[in-house]
Amino acid sequence: MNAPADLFLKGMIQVNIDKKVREWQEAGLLDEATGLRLVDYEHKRRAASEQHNHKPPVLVIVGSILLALSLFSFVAANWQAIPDLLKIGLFLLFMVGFYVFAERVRLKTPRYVTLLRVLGFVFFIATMAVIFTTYNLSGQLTLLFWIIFAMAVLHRVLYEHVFFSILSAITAFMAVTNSFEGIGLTLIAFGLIVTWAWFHFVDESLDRTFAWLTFYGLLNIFGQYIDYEGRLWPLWSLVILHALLLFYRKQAVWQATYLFIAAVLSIGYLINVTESWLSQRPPSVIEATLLSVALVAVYLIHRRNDLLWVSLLAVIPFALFEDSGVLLAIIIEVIALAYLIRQDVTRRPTIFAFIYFLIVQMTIYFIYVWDRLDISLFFLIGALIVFALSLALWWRNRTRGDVTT
Amino acid sequence: MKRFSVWLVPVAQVLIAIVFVILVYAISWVGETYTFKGSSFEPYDPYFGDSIYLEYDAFKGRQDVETGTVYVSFKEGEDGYAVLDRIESKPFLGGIRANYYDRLLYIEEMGSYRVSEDEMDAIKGKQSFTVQVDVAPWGMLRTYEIEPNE
Repeated sequence: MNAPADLFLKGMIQVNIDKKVREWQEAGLLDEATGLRLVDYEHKRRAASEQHNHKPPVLVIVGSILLALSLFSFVAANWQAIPDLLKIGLFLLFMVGFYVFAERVRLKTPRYVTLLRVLGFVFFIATMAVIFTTYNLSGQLTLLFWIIFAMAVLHRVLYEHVFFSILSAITAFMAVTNSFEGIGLTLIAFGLIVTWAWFHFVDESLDRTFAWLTFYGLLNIFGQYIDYEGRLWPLWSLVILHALLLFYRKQAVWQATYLFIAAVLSIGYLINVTESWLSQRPPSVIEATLLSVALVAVYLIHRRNDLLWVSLLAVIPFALFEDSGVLLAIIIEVIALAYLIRQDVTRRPTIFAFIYFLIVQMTIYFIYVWDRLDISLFFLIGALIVFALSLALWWRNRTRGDVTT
Repeated sequence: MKRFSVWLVPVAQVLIAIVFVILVYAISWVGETYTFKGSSFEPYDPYFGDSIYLEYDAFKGRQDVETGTVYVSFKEGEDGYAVLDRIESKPFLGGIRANYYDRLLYIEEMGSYRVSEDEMDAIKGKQSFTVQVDVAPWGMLRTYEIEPNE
């Protein structure tokens, strides 16, 4: 309750305990053995409590900070003169030190454990940076990014903290974006294995979402590796990724990534349909048919109504044959509207459907109507259509309500 | 099990660092040495930094490959200097990563060389060099010596 007073009292008792015990012994209240045990007990307790309440004096703290600063500045000033291996060894020592420290404080102050482990990981990256700059290994940089990604995933799997999910996501993003200029099959396979480990062993939607996106990036890199020349590879990647649904059947939040990527792709193709890509061959009818069949087939296999909209991408391969892009614009517009209405009618959240609908409107406006129609007129027409639709829906609901009641 | 698995991360990271350092030293142990003729835009001046930037005659000229990231290997030419052997867009065993733009091949590891203290006097003010490069069978290389030509 009153800590200082309590301590003071304890001190008094402990200081006087020898005297008191002697007094009690002389008065015949205690025998000699009990007195000895009493004194012994009190001394032990005092020693233990002193050790427990041990706090370093302020001057010692200030002194050690100054010492650390002087060491750091000494190392920094002589950085060029330090032998290469010693430099690397120093960083490795710090790295291992943080992990050891994390294990030591794990039981006492668990809130610092993750911080220390993150510092350990940061020092791993710093060590690799020192090695790469010292020996000028810029040619192996992509490999390094994948190794760092693998270590981040290992942190996530073993230490089970959500912060490492974010670290894994960032490193995955770096690795994928650095690999687009072309990597070998072995590195692609390595990336796939690490991503699979992340996906499989961490049963959280956040992790699976990011792992899924990494899979998607890797598949697109693979398409580049096999020299696929065409415009449909991103769609093929999406079809291939449906294989995951065969093994991870339980409905979960991460599966919304299929819809997300489908939405992004539809916008992407809408933007690119008018550009005749000189370097890429026109879509072949056979490939377009195969792709459309595949997109419908994956729906027929998994039969998930919420993922039905992904299969509607099957119209894109054929719409690409029509160069002006009007066909694709109309189809996507209809799909976006249908999706919005469907979400509303089935009383599911409409926010993403609404955002998608808006983005489709903007895209269509900027690409097709920019120099033909005034923006206010364009949106006025859009608004009138939406109002008309909502009126029709409301009317239908009302009449149906009349019938049922 | 849990007690040992937490040490997996630091042990793996130490091993990765050690393997990379060993790979670097192994370039000189098992790799093949090639000699290049290198030149620098302007004479080396230690006042502006400890690295010298080099260009190579062997890397100039049109190559039968798409621009961007390419992979190359070397062989010894008739005059004793190295020439390009294989150049491809896809990685192959022993292929060194390079960039090919504007009829010029560029290998980052060979593009700059860190001049150590005892080489400084010999290199200072010179523009043309003989460059010794070790190339490892796993596609890493290391410039280990440069000498002024005059």
